[in-house]
Amino acid sequence: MNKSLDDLFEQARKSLKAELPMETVEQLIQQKTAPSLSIKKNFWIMTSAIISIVSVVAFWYLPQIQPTPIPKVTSVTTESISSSLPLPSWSYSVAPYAIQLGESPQHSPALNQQANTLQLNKTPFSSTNLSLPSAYLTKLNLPTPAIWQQPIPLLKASFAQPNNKLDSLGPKATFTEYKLVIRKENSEQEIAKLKEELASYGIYMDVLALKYDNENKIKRFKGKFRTDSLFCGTTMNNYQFDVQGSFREMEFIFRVADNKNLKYLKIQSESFEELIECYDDEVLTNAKQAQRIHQRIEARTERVEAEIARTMAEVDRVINTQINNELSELKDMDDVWIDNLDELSEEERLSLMKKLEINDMDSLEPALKRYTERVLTDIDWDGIHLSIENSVQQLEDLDLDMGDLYIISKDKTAKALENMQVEMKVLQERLEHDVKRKLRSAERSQRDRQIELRERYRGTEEAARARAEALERRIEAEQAREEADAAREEALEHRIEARIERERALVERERAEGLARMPARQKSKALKSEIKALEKAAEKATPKEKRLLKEELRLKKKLLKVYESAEENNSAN
Amino acid sequence: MKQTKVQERFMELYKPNHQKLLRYCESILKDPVDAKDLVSETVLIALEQFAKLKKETSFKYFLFGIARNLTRRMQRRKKFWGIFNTEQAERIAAPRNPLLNEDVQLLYQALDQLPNAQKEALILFELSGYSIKEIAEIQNSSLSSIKARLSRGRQKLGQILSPKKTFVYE
Repeated sequence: MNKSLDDLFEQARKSLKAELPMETVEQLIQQKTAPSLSIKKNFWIMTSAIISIVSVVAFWYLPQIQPTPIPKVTSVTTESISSSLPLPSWSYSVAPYAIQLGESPQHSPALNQQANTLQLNKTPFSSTNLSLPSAYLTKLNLPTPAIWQQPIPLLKASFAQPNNKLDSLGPKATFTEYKLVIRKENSEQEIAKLKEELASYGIYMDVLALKYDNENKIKRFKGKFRTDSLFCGTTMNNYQFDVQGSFREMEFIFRVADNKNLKYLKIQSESFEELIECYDDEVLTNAKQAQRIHQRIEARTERVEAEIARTMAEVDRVINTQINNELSELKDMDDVWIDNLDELSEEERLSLMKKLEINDMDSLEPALKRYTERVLTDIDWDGIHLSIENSVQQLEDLDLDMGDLYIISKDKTAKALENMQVEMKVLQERLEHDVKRKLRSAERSQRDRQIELRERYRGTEEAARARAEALERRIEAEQAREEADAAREEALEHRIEARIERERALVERERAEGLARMPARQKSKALKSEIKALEKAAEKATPKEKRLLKEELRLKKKLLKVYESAEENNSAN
Repeated sequence: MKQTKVQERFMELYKPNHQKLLRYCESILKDPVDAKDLVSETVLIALEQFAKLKKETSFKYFLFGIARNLTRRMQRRKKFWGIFNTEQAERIAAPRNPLLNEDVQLLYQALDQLPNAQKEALILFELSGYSIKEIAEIQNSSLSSIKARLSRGRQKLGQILSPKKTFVYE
């Protein structure tokens, strides 16, 4: 095996063909020492870091290098939806904007008013004349204050044409926009106007804070919107805005849809804007749905009422028939009663009949009373009492018996329980004893088993050892036998060689002396016959004998050659 | 100046190991081209990290360690390449010296079944031609353990390659 492995490794060694001259390696190393990108790693890192820092700084400061500074604006807008949201209900009655769902949204008072106002103020809102009174005058019956009759361009229509700016905000592409500007000079009036304007859409505004700085600019404006209108989105309820900064003026822009509903309210100033969606289409559709449901419920109610009326009529009819039946039954009873009276004595019957005839139905009652008294006196009340007493007595006796029995059974149960407990204790003790005994026996058997196993193992170990020893001995004996065989073979070989040598020496001596005791031809003949005999014997011999015989044959043949050569020499001489 | 000195010293240490390293790489990768690449890469990394070498006596351990790690990395990467390698398939289908290649392939297959340390020791001893002492330096082990590895490796190889173990198809 080792030889074949060595051969295999030799083959593998020969099969290795890769060649890489040392010069290539040296070149590689020289190239390696030249400066590479990885060596300049630090340089690259530093450069890129500096460039990035410079660019960040530049981007940071560039917007600030402007001709006019922009005031810092912070705005906080919080939106909280309270639990008192204006949900669609059947009888929503918040004055003065209570609406009935049976009506369309355009019929709501607030919206009607708004529609009227807008119609009336159509001319003032045109872009050609901006100096007319604003939409503040929503209530037609109120007198317009003198101040509003002056040309104040506060709430003005900035776009008379439809505004397409917010097309992406919803399906309605057209809005009309109105603007209201608040400054310090006119803030109170404007806020009042704003509140009124919003109220006309069902939105109420509370101003929580309004502060100005030294330059008469608005510093903080905090407010809150509430709504009870069904047609305003839930976003408008409890919508809080808090604008802080420094503003010269603040604009409130109303964007009104075609159906005169306030769609968007925008609060904006120089550097701030906030857009609130006020009108909710979804709410409107919900309201319409609610209206439909209401109508359906009303129809169903009517149907149910008709059904109830029909049922009542049926009940009346059934009750009447029942009463009639009962009356007829009573009449029959009367007849029976009269028949019974027939069985009475003639005199009594006659007297009764007379009385009946005379006193009509009212006099029947005392007569009956008398009759029953008379009948009742015939009953043996004492006997009944006696029998009742007897039965009560029997019941009491039975009770007593039952009590005794209960006590007896209780005693017996207690005794049985005691006995059972005692028995249980005994059984438990016996069980414990048994378990202990079994455990002990199991331990003993386990110990026995362990001992047995150990002994068996020891026995097997000993047997295995003995077997191994015997095997060793046998191997040793075999080795010794083999050695002996080898020695014998060697000895035989030596012997044969010695004999050959001896024979050769003899032949030489004979030849030298010229005195052949036996002619060479005879010797060779004898040898040939011997060789033949040996060849025959070799055919039948065992392999080991065969080997020996072959060796002998070889030697004999050598000897034969020697004799033959001697014979030839002799003949030549 | 300093760099050239380092280079020279490195080359002095590397030169006696060059052929052996090449043989080792080829017998591990079973591909002469890959073996050349691996040797080049090993040399470059070894030169780069040469300054970190504390004892020059452990240069062989250092060099072969790099080669070993690179081999592992290459073998790991090979897993992510296609399952079927056309070149290898062609080589197997039509080897230049069929008898020789078959035997060598069998030997390599048997070597692959051995534990890494045994396989490495056998390759370094039989194919690269390192002495046991040098292998002990490379593998950072004692002489006796290297001897044990070699003898056990040979035994296992014998078992794997013995005809009794081969499968007979009738």
